[in-house]
Amino acid sequence: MFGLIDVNAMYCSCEEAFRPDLNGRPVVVLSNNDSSLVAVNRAAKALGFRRGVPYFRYRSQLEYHGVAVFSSNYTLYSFFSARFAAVVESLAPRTFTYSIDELFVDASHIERTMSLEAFGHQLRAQVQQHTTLTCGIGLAETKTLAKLCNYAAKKWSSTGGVVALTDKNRLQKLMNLAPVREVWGVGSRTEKTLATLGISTALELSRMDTRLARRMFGVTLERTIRELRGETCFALEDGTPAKQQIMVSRSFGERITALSDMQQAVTGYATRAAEKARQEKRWAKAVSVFIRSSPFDTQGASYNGQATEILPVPSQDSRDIIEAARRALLRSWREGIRYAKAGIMLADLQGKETQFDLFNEQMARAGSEKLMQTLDRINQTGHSRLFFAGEGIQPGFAMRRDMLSPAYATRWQDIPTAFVR
Amino acid sequence: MQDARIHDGDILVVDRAATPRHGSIVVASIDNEFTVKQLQLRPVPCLMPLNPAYPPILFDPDALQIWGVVTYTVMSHGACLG
Repeated sequence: MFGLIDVNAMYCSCEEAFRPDLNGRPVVVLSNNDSSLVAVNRAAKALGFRRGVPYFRYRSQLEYHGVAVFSSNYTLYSFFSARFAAVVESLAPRTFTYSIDELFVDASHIERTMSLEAFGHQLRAQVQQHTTLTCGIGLAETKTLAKLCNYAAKKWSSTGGVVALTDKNRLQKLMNLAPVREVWGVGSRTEKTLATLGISTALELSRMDTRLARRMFGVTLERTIRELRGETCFALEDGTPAKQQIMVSRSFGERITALSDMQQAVTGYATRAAEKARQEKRWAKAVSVFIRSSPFDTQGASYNGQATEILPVPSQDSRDIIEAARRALLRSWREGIRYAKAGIMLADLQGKETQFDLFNEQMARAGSEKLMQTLDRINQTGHSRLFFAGEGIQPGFAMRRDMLSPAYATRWQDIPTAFVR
Repeated sequence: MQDARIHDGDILVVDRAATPRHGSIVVASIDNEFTVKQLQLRPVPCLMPLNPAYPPILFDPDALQIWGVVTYTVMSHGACLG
């Protein structure tokens, strides 16, 4: 039995926590560099604002409606995230942090002492009281089903934010209402291919032939189907059904025109991508770089460049990824463009077992694993950071964060004020 | 706030998890800002300013937002933190 708990509109809720004046007001949070809307609270959504739209296009409308706009304050969000996790852990001993605002819990023994639903409501009330955050909770036999119940808890407010389903008939009813893209691990590409097979709901997916699913989409979707049928395939600590790619991309605060600046940016993204690969225990065979001008720029030529390098041996070593990324960048670079965004994608990801190819002359670098482990360990301390000189020492493309909220919870000067009157 | 001995510039330690009781010093949000008051539940629920210059605030117990209970006060002697 598993539970999935996630915080409603996490970033906006964190911004509202210490701002009583924002109660009931529309709030949005911008992505890195203040480039687009990354989080939208209920009131802002009601005004028609959506995630993903570029900020500068909606700036005047946001102002007109008196929407409170914030740059992303990750210090604040991680503080709340840690609090949220601590509260949940105090009630459920085994948990697995899935993302900044999502946790899985092992709910196996709950039913001996209380109903799952009562447990969910208790969790929700505790999180609310301790952190001010509101969360949605789904509880069911498998992680995939728990995630689906969580979707239901958010979608229908009459549930009170908690959906616990163990009854087969009620589960089927929910699966019949849930579009297949709401199933954990089904991406938009899979959704499209499934549509051609006439599969559009979770229920239809659960009835798909597992051998066919394995042949067409791989073993992960087969497991997803089994999980929808109530058979546990993913343990608590298992991450996402393995990712197909690792992406790191960003818009620049200011346009980049010099190759040396772009090399620094891409080196930084390559480092980050390699870190992610190591976290997820994946080795990449293909490294792609893309660079582009802004579709909203009226001056200058528009350009969309991209190139891919194939590594001789699958790697997660930052040095290999950086080298390949820089080669790909040189191939895709064109002078005279005002670049607005760049990114890197690692693809053809493999597990450890395929790393060594007997027939390949070229072997992985000696001592690579140890060196990278050391690097990661130092960087995880958070005190200082070891980095590749190629990332630049004082990058000229630093992030834009014009509307950053105070570090209410982590800096003495920033703690909120209460008035005596 | 004379009786509770809270002064301008003091740092309040606020426990959100604690249940506010009759007599608790609380941080509540009223009129779009945080305010420190003493909670009184008897004979009628109200927030006492404890500063005679301000009147008590009567409230609807279901609508009032108490942010947390003040458990300690760190008194400032004028030094700047940070």
